[in-house]
Amino acid sequence: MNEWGHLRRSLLASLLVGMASATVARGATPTPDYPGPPDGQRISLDDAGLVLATYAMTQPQEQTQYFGGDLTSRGVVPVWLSISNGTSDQTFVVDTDEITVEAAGGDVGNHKDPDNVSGAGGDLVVGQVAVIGSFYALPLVVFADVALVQANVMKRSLIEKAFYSHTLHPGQTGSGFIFLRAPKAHQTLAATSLVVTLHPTPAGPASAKTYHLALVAPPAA
Amino acid sequence: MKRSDLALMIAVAGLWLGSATPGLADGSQPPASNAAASSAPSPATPPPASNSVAAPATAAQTPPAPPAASAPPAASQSVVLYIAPEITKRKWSNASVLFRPIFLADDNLNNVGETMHQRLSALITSLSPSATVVDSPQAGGGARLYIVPTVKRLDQISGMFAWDDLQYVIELEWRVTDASGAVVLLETVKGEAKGKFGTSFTAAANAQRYEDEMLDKAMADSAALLKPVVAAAPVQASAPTTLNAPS
Repeated sequence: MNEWGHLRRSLLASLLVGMASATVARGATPTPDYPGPPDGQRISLDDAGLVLATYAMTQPQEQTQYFGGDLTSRGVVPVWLSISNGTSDQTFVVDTDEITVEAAGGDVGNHKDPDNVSGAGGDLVVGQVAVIGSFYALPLVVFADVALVQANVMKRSLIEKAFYSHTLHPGQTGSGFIFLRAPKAHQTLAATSLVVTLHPTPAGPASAKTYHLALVAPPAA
Repeated sequence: MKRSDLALMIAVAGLWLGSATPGLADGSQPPASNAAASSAPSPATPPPASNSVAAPATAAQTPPAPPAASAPPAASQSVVLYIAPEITKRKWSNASVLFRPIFLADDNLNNVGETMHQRLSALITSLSPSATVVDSPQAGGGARLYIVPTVKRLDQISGMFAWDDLQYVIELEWRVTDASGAVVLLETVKGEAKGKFGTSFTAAANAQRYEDEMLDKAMADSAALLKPVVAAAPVQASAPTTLNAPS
């Protein structure tokens, strides 16, 4: 038996096992459900039984715990939004496509698609290049796969925790995350608000309600 | 190269290139049809101010596909399902995620849009046998209920290797409007299927099974969501199993 050939096969087999275990280990760690911020940290607005609350998750540790990575470094701030319909007889429709962001200067933007946050698409390209160009360079492939798996964990958590359109009947609450672009250096979240419109249904004399929700609590007087 | 080396390399390739068998790729989505099929806003293109924040508090809600006045009115008690052509046209690539962009000329596209069309039609007609399925928004004028599904996401999340996790996910938004155009239901359901990517020998069967499971779940949740609305007068639906469902 050629000793070099035997060693080569052993190395290859070891790498395969390593890749499998690394990938499985990384892929088997989904992020936990978000229980909601503590009462003291959420900013609430109460309007005749409708309670809207926001919480800007800015701490990288918290983002890593619930989204699998630091989103702020990717230019994103996840904002938890909760809408509780405490009315007795009115149903409201909230459409995520109508939720917008308003900056103090009047700039109007929109929130981000989870796909644009996770960067999974870019990691896939990296993975393709690495795989095709390095058939014999298995360590590179391992890195590419680990990066892709990590991006996938983040993408899953972004999808699962996002805020979606709802029809809120009396007593119901809808909650989830809206993903905003992180403010630039000269801006702050304090100058940014989330604009949410609730439509009563069935249509009646009541009109739609639009709320401007602050993301940072105003300083105490 | 010895035969044992060759066999080992083939085994490596089989695991490595699990994706070389039928799968799907984000890039296979028709770009022109993504307006409705993937309507999540892009941060790079903020919408004009006129349709975003500046909406007055008294603004009336506008459904996405209002019936046109010139259309022949449907029966007042009818249920109309509008399936946008963007949904039906959708295709997934059966080619390898790894190799498709490089050399493949004909990748035997998976007509997932046609499958969606059939599933959605079957769902609504099972709830309301007299329902009409249209592919033009004008044809729904005068209907008691006008139902518009929007595919917010139809996607796979996968790695590169046979042992990597593979997840198929669909987010289906249902918008139901009454004869006056008022929205009576707006809710999103999610269908998903998870499993392993599989080897070159199993990935195709896995992909088909995951697609079926994903659609089965989405249709089952959609049925639970729509049944109270379609079966009776436009009344409030009971809490369905939805994405981040209201509690």
